[in-house]
Amino acid sequence: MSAPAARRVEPVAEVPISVTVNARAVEAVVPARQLLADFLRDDLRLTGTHVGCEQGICGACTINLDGEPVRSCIMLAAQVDGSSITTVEGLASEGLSPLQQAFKDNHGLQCGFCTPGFLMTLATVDPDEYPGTDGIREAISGNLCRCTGYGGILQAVRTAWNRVEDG
Amino acid sequence: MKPPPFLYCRPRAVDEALAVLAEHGDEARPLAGGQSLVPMLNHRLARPGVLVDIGAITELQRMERRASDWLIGATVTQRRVERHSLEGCELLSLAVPFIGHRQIRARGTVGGSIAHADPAAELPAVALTVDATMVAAGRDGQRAIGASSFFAGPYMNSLADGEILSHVIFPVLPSTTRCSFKEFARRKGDFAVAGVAAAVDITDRVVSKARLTAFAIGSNPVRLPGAEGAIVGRSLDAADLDTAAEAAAAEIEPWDDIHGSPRYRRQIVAALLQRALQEVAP
Amino acid sequence: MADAFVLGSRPVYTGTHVTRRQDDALLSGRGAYVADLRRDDMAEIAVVRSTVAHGRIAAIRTAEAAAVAGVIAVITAADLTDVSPYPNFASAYTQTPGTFPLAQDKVRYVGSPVAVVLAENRYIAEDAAELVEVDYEELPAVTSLEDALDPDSPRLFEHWPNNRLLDLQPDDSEAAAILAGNRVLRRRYKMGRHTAMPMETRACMAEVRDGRLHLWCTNQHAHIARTTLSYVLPMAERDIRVVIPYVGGGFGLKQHLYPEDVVASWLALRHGRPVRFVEDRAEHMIAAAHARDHMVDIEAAIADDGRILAMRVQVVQDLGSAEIFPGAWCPALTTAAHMTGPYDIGHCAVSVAAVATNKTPGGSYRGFGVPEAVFALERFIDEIAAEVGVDRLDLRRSMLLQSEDLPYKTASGALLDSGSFAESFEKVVELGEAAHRRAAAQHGTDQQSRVGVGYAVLFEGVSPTHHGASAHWAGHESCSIEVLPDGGVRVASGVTDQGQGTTTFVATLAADALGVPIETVEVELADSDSTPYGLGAFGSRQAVIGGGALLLAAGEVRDKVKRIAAHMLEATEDDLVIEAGRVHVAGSPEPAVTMAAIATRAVIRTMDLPPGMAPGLEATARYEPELMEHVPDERGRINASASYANAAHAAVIRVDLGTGEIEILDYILAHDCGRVINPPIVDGQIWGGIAQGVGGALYEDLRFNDLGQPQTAFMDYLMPSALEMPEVVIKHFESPSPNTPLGMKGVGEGGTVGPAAAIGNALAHALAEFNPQIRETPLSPAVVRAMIPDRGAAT
Repeated sequence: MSAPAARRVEPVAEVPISVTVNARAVEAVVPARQLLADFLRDDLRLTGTHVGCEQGICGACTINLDGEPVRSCIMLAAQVDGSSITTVEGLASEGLSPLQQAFKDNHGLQCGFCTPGFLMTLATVDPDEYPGTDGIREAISGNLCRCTGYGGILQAVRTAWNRVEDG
Repeated sequence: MKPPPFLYCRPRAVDEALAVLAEHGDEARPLAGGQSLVPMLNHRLARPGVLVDIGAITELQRMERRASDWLIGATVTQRRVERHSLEGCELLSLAVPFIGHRQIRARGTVGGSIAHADPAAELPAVALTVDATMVAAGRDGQRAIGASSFFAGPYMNSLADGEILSHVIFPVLPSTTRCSFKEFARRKGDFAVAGVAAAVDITDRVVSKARLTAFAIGSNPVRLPGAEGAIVGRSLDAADLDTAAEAAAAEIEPWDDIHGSPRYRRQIVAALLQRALQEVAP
Repeated sequence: MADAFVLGSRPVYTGTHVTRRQDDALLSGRGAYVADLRRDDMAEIAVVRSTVAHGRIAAIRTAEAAAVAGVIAVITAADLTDVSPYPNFASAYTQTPGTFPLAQDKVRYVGSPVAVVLAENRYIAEDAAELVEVDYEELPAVTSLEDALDPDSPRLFEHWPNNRLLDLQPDDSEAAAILAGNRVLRRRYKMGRHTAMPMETRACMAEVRDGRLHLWCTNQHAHIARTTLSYVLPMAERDIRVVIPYVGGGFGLKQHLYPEDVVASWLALRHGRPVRFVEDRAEHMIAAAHARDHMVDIEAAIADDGRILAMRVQVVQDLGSAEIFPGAWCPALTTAAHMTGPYDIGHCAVSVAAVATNKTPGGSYRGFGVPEAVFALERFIDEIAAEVGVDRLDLRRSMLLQSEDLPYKTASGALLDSGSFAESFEKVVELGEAAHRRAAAQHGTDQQSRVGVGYAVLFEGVSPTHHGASAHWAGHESCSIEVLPDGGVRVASGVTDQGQGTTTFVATLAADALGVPIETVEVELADSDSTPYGLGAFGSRQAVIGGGALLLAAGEVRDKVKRIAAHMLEATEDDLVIEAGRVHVAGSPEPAVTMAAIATRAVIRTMDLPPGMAPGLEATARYEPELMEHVPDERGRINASASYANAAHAAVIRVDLGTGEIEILDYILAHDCGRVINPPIVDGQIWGGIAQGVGGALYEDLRFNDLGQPQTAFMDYLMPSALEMPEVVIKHFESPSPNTPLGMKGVGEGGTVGPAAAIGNALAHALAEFNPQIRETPLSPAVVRAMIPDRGAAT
């Protein structure tokens, strides 16, 4: 190859990152292997992001990363350098957002452990991409709930998304 | 379920990544979206000494319509493909929604899925069906690998040591090609128990060319030459569908796991292939 | 029920949708679960678990692990010299596993805890745990219930005569005599192994403060956990405090006091640092209690019209290694107690065996033996109908208990004092048949699928004794109520909240029983230091029994409020009403005295109390249902529950003939839990219960291979998502029990126990042309597809 020699990149055990979390700028040095969920929970004390499986299946740890819902248990903290994150703690500046209120009003939660993951998925996706109740089911299919059987959750989302057409 | 210790770097250019990979040899492993690799780290099933995060390399994020194909960079996310329906790449568009869930597709990459070569994954099946070309980048430059030789067994590809997958070239199919993608998973978003992909050219109401693939039945996706042969020149009526389904069930050698015996997988492949062909029939 | 159990003069909250008080915190991420607790000097543990199903421990080498930077200690059973095995209070009729917190000498399942690493954090603890080397002398594994019943199978416990922990064979001569003179039908049914799988795994954090052990944990019972720790550690119970913070679902799985709770406590006491254990999901799959895994053999004498005249039943439960406390055999007893269903079947003799195998210990899970009984009996009735050639609905009608039959004592000893068995059944039949007609019209021409409808009708013992599981604790619950000088109310109870809404129902009943605004009621649960001794959450008991204790305590407080108010108002107690925190004469809102004025007089200005009245405005009460029995009679009969709810289920399904996949098109449930306190919470319990029942019926399957190696990872454990759950239509019946406080019955299980039976029957209906044998769950697509002939026959 004729290009000049590549910049030398040194693998490290401790990684400096800059990230925006709930509109707050955070600078940190994280262990290379630290999971993003653990960084949020242990280092930033944002324990509303729950860890249910650590293998990207249950959805409890879902956060908003640069506008997309992602699973924070299968990302490394090091990977979010330069990104912007919202967690459940950042959903409302005070009180409850309309979505959160709809969950409360429609008994959309029981034990509450999976709830932040549902909220972060729903708060991040575009409702228009998920029409009708079937659309809501599709939107939340990556989040497992073991208490509600989803009835209260569907009703909460229909309320929050102004859908009365079916259900 | 915490990852074992490793060193980490985040190069900004392919050359930088290749240099680190060369320096650390077998110890080093590229990290794309991480949707398969990080769970493996958490299970301690993977123990790389060095993780080379290729997520910040902009040249791997290209997505371009070219004269007769689409060039899709290795770290283009599945979500990005889902959002833009790629004209001429219908099979890819049909397959992507089957990958995991929205949260997985947001991080999961086209190249990562193909390089990971999970036997039950959708994109390797698409690549095989449409004869996509995988382009590897190594210290000696780029190298094209056809889909039929890229997949080298379960979770194995034919990239050489020190190479990374740079991009995938999906040919744009003619408008006479009809596509269908069917998979059966226990729940939506789960890995397939079995699946089929079909790209069938119809000329004058008969099949002029057929590319049929079954996946999640063995080490890698496989083309179904027997079923393909059975429908070329046919109009895809009910009897043709039966013949093709029987041929497919007979020519695959499915494996056994807790979700299905070989016999069951043959039955599903037959049923799914019938449905796929019904969909593309003239 | 006695007048002791009454709400106040003007109940305004009971029966309405009171929104839950924890929700604001939970919705904004402020609810602190055990894993969210953190101390500056906290250390964490990782557990080294057995990789073999059955083996002798030849050697454990810990030196390399102990040398890892950040490791504080590595311990094995040999280090726990001052720890006692878990007790067995049922040794009169069970074998004793002698369970110790860490494996001694032998391991009996993959996942059994062998050693524990204490380190600065979980990452380091896991690094070190990998370095602990254990040598096993492997032994042949017993991996199925059938193998365990074989007297020649390898024994898990050398001091047992066989692998039967429990083997009860009551006198069946009456049933046998009837069987001998009639047509007999025999069938065997099996329910597979699945489990609760709460979204929050198990967790605990132990901390020593001022010489006392404080344990925050996910257990469902603060006091039973405290007592058990005092037995095992052992240490004085007064020196232990157990606190249960927010819990992410329990469903019975968190009823057991697990080894990690003991070991974390021991390490905290030994090392003087807070110690946290947060189970990861991979561990949860193999080390938290599994459930079900029953076989039910029915022999029945059948009349010409199909009616069951008598039954002889053998229930066998696969306990796994049985190394769990409380023991796990009680679901089999519960299956036995439900074998007649809500039918007039005069003779039913059930023998019960519970066997040990080299699998994860079974334990408690919502439904607790009842789904197994309902699946077997309701499938059996459909099979009888097919065999005899009668209509399956008419056959049920001919046996179902009618309201004039009540009270009715079942052949197993359950006292059904109220219920809507026939009415609820007819309601779901009406809706189910209509839904089936719609489905048939929509899909009838589809050659690739079939539709069918199936029914299940059932009763379920709720608010049961604990004695069946522990042979130690019985069935009471407790409540303390104190009115503070400003009129605010503090309620402390032994019940606990894993998300069911316990806190909210306690506040609801207390507010109505005392006549105060609900906002003025503070509820304290699940801290053994600040609540009276109670038994907590199991068997859908908390509203009934916890509610009973609450109403008794509130009644005492209310009486005193009225006495003081009568003195202040110069009125007669009987003329007074309490509403919105004010006491006045009925019909004239003024003059009134406030709860604050009354309480101030009761605890501060005590010189102003009526002459002779003792100071204070508080009461502690305990409620133990009178009719609940704890020990069966000589024929195995027992009225083990304080109440019995009932339900009828209908499932309309579509079966894909190509893949064997079952799609639930409609799910209809009529439920009767007596008096309803909070309608959305009741509906939520039912929906959630159905989801777990559907999971067990179709998706969830904990498999082991012949070596006893677990085959089901979390990614293969298929809990239903929103796409697998149908819409549910719920119809409510309210038949208050004459024998429970307010006529309440528990609601926690009714959704869970019916789906396997209803869906199984729907499948039999849909595939009737193929005459399928549907006698096992889960009904996975592969299993269903095998019932369907290959192409040609099907299309």
